[in-house]
Amino acid sequence: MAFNTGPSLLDAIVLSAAAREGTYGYKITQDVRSVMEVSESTLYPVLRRLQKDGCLETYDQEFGGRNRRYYKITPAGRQRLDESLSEWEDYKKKIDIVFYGGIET
Amino acid sequence: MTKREFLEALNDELLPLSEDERSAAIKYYSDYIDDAGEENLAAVLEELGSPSQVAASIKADAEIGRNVPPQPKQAPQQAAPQPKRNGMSAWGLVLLIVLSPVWIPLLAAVGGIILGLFGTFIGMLVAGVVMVLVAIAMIIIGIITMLETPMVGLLLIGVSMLIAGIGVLMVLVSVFLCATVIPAMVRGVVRIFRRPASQSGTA
Repeated sequence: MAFNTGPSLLDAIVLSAAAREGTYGYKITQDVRSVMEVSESTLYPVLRRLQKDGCLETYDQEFGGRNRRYYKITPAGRQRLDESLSEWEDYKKKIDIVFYGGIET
Repeated sequence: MTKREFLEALNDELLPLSEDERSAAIKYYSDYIDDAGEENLAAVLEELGSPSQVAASIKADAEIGRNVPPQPKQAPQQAAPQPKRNGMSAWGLVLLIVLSPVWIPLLAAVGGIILGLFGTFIGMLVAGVVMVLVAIAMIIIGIITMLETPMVGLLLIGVSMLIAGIGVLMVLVSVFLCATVIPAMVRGVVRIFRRPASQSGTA
């Protein structure tokens, strides 16, 4: 990605990836890496922090003969994600106005 | 490196962390490697980096998360310059002492030059004042002489005015030099000596 992306955007992308049903570390990492250049070891600390903040929770479920740890967004995480999404919406509008002229207004 | 070797090495690296913290990380990376698939093991391990690199990323965040959860970037930036500054000034002090045989004589020499110049300027000032006084005396003599032999008197007055002019010029030059050149030199020397100190202070 050609644009600078800060930690708050990364948090929002991770939350958004975790908001889907039945997702897990590897899948979240691949989802994030499809839109953002981050190394594979970047995601665990972010997931762990969001978990400590009460935005994510984990549960273990049997998959292919082993227990896989799944991530799930909490109500607090959902609220934070919604805030991020509306901020993103504002930001996007402003950028669009700069990029394409006052179409949005 | 096999999955087992990687996880064992990671576990060793994470020993300083709490049991809870460590087992969560091990579980995550164990799942991660399994989900990436057996055939991608080598690629995944390479992409993750060495166990110590992975451990460093976990430890950094575990420690920061304890203090300031929402802003992980802020804490290390504020904490980092503090010990660095102390280290620099300590080194600066050592350097100052070690290099004292060099800079003390240098400082003395510069001080001597400034004092010498100051003396020269004072001398010029006094000489200029004396010349003006002599010239005034000569003008008076010239006026008296003019009463007897006007041409000699005029010559005397002219010469003494020339001397007075030179004297006034010397006074002006020496006052100017004292007032501007010496303070500027002192300031320059002070700046030279202050610069390394202030640099080590801000760096």
